[in-house]
Amino acid sequence: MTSAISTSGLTRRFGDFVAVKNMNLSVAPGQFYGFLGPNGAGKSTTIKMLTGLLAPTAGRIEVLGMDFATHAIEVKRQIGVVPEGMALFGRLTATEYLRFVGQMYGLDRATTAQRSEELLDFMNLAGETRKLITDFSHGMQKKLALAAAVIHGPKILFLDEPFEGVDAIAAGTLKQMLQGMIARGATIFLTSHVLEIVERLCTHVAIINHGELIANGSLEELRAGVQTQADSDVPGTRLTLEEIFIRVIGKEDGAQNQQPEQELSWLG
Amino acid sequence: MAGLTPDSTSMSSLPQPSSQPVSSRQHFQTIAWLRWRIFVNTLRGKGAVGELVVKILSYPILAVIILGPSVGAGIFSYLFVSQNEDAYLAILLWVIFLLWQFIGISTSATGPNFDIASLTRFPIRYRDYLLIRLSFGLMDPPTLAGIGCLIAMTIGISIAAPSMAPWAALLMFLFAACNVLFSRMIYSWLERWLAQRRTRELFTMLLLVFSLGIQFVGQFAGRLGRHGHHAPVSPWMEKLSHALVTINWFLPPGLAAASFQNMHRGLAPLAFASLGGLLLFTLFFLYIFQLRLKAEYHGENLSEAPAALSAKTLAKDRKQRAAQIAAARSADASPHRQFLSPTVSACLTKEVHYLMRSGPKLYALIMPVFMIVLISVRTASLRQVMVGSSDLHTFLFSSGCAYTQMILVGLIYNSLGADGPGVQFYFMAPLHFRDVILAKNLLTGAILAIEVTLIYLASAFLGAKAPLSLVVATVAWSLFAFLLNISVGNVRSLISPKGYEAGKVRRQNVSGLNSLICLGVILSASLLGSATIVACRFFDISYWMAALAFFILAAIAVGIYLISLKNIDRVAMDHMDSLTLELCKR
Repeated sequence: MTSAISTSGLTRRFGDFVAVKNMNLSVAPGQFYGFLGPNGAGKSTTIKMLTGLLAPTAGRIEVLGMDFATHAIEVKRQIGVVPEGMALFGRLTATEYLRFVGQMYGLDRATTAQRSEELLDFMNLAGETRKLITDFSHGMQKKLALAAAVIHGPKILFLDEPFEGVDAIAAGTLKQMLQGMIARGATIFLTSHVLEIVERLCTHVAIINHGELIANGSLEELRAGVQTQADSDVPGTRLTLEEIFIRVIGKEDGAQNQQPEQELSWLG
Repeated sequence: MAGLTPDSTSMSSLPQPSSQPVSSRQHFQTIAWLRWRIFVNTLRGKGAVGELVVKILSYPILAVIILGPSVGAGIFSYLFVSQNEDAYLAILLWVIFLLWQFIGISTSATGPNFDIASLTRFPIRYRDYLLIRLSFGLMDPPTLAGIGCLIAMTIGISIAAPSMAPWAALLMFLFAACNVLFSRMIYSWLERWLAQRRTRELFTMLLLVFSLGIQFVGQFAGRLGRHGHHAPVSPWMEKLSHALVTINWFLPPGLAAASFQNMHRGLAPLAFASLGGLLLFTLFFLYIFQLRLKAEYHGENLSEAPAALSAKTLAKDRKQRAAQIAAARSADASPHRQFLSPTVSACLTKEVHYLMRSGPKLYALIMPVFMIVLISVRTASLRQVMVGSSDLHTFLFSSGCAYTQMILVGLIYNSLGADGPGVQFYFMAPLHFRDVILAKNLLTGAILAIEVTLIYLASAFLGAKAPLSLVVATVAWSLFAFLLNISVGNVRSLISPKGYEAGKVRRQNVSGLNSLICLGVILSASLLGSATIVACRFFDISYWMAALAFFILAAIAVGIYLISLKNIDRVAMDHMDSLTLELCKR
């Protein structure tokens, strides 16, 4: 079966600094894929490369079986993205922005208008259609960015920190929508620092550190990989994603995190 | 971490923050270092060398800008004082005052800025904060020019009347302080009002109406005061000018001049009284300025949130949207084919929305037509008194078109600036970047076409019709200059973009290198245009030849434009990192 997303030898350098090193990744269609890593690990760089916002220095990206380098436009038609900066045009209203995005993805005006209406209702933004986006709160902007990312019905959705700055009610709405998409066969690639959400939503998780993929698999596979004898001895112990993440990153970073007690002792 | 658990430590054993207050000197040094580091760090990015070269080149220009008026102010001061016409010093001081305050509005920053208000989060004393706010911007071109002029005036006065040197120095120092505080006061309050988008838009409209109104008032006042060449000034104007001269003596420039005049005549009490008046103004400006700063220092929340819509309005909105959907359905069903591709059409619609919501841009676009109307009215009256003023009319259309080109470069050389973080969308969506740029160019081209038409109509109806050959030559030149500008401007917009901040009255960040390149292109095109027209006149060649030459140049420019547009996707991809990084900055 063709992977929804696959990379081989994906590398990105910024001068001498290697942000992403020789990454080989494969995401199957229909997966809710969580992409985790500490700050500066290379998550945003990877997602930018996968969505065409950053050119790789080396390697190959395939999306739905198409080479990104040679079929960029075709690939972009099939994907939706909520990038780090949200890519909103502040001086448009929400309706105008959705109409603009719909047209850019080749939707006809009636479909765009109909979908905009439904999305604004779903996102609870229908009462804000007269405001300019620049006047929206951060959470409202996130919801609008997500609405724009899905208006054309993408097969793959890339989300960079979609829950950052979003209140619990809005987060619930977003989760409901994302789960609905997965149920209908879409693939979602998500980065987030909120590990509880990733654990609840994602079927597969990858962990990146210092630009290298250091863990990849289903939650159960990752759990099995870091389980120790001590964990097995206590019946009913089930490691959370946060514990898995800390163990994986801790093992990788080794000595650096060994003696935190000796540092910042002056801090109250 | 040790010390974090309640059982292992008590509050008394917690390490305490330093109780030593940080000295003002330390704060000043740190902020000076910060500004220096920001400046140095800007030299590390892409295109930094070009920006540095522009900075180095701009210093001699700045020096000339400052030196020219300063030398003039010094010479006039010397002449006025040596001829015992001290009262005329008020005129010089008014000119300095007005230039100091109003040039600042259009002064853009080519360097890095940071929000000084963000310093309030540090343990900084209010007094120090006030001093920092006052000292920031003392090196701005208008301030440097103003101070330069006042120093030159002091020197001029001292040469003419050496005994008056200390008094002149004291007055000029106080007048400089008064100016600095006045501009700080005005801009700090303006920024307070402009922090909210709605107020900003309202203010822009008011400024536009005021600016246009003042031009008309000036025009009609001029007509009221002048019934013809050498005609006596009307009594109305005489009364008004007397009133203005009287008011002048109670305002800072007049007070400074009066104080000097009285001291020079040996009327010390009157001189001290005027000095006291000037001091009172200075303290008043300081007081109003610090009211604003105090609010800022203690933290304030300038809410942007507009009022919630009523249920009735929401229902109306919903109805409207339903009607829009129905209309869109019928439009989609019709066999009518769009002239533009959906991408270009969508981008064009977006650009129109942006243009209609940008007060300053609209203002700039109205100006060329407005200037033509004004000049037409003025030259109509000049025609009655001046020989050879017909030239003014003949070239009114051509001058208006050249002026329009200069106004439009702001849209052309930083065409992505207003898009901000939205620029990321262009790289994510299934589109060619050239479609985005083409839409922007089409809008600018449409604006140019409208402006040229309006300028033609205004100059033809209010002035005199220029010969058809000259009109065609001007249109051909405009086309050539526009195509040349967009060919270069499109590439520069991608290579060196700067975020456009709608809320800023001044210090809008612009690329120095872009400004220099834009100036070079505009000057070259204008020189070429005017040289051709002058040559036609001098050698008695028909303007049709000039038109032909410009059409050939325009055809070449079309070729250059198409090549640049063809390569725009590659340029965009090459500069994607820096472009998104710069425009996504908050």
